Amino acid sequence: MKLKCILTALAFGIATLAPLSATAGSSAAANPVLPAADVATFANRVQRDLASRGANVVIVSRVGRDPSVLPDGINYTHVAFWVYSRITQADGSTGMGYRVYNLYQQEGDLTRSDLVQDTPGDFFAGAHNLDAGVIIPDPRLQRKLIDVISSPTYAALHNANYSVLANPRSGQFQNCTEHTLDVLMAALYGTNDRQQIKANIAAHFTPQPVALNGLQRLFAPAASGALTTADHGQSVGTATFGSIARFMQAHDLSDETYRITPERLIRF
Amino acid sequence: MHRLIISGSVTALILTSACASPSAQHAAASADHSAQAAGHSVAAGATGVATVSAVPVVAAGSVLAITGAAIESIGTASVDAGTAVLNTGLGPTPQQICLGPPMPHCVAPQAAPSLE
Repeated sequence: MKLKCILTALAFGIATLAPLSATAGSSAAANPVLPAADVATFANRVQRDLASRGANVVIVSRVGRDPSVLPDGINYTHVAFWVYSRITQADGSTGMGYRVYNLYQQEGDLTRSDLVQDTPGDFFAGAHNLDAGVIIPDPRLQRKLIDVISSPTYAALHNANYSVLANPRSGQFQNCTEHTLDVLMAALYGTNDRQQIKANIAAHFTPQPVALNGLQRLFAPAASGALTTADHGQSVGTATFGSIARFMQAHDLSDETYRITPERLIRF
Repeated sequence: MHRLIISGSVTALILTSACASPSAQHAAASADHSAQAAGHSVAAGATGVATVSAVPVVAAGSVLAITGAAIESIGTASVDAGTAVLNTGLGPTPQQICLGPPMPHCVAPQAAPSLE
């Protein structure tokens, strides 16, 4: 009876996971949630707010899924650096704006990732809600971050082996938030040594725990390799916008941490 | 049983969204975003309009007016969410970390980060 129950659960589990994981990289995009005009207006609201504060490098997050299905402690699903830049277009025109430095899953292989630059509009194109989490680092840290982002270290810290729940204390897999954290640590400690960065993360950064039971951890990789937790021990913890915000606040590394919606700016 | 199935699917819903890139369909929408963004004082770079270069500007604040809207302070609930369970089952902070292949060495952490 017990075995039958487990096998049935396994079948159901894979059946529910498989279609989701198969379209994970493009499922939201195939069915845009928000009108393009609203997204554009919001993207400009965010970047104009950041520019008005004199922010050169900012950590920005978006809500890529219905918040009602997000687990406790996870409010945002994608994080990237926004860098205030002089942008030259193909037609020769120039302007000032934010360039977004992302780590994205590859659409054809969700277990792999690329570093991709895009725009604030692109960043929010896949958003479920018009809601951005913002961390403005201390200006001294912003300068250090620019030094890293504009150096070979930025790409050298990229690990293309992608896991949604990558363990930030391990170099085995990486996701967008962990790469952001690695770059942050490289800037803070003035190093491109990945081992040293991971040691410092293990010592000073507290990952966001994610409650998964054994069967979930068993089933998930069967649906998608990107859902592996092979780099974790008994418990699962990953880097999130919130955990990075807490880390930066605890060490006086941030000037502001707040949330932008179309109507309000709210300090966390 | 139902709980198991539901929690499994919820986990997948949550987690598969992370770090997803805009699709071709979104890229097309993004061109619209960028076109509209260009009308604002802070120009948006564009996927739809080829960007030749984007050079970070280091001069903090020198070309920017500080006119940001006031930020409301209504507590720390969002960032603090989940803190009650921090460290649960994650074990003590290690004094030394030994990473497996391809980085087989043990490294001692440095002091906590500080900008002072």
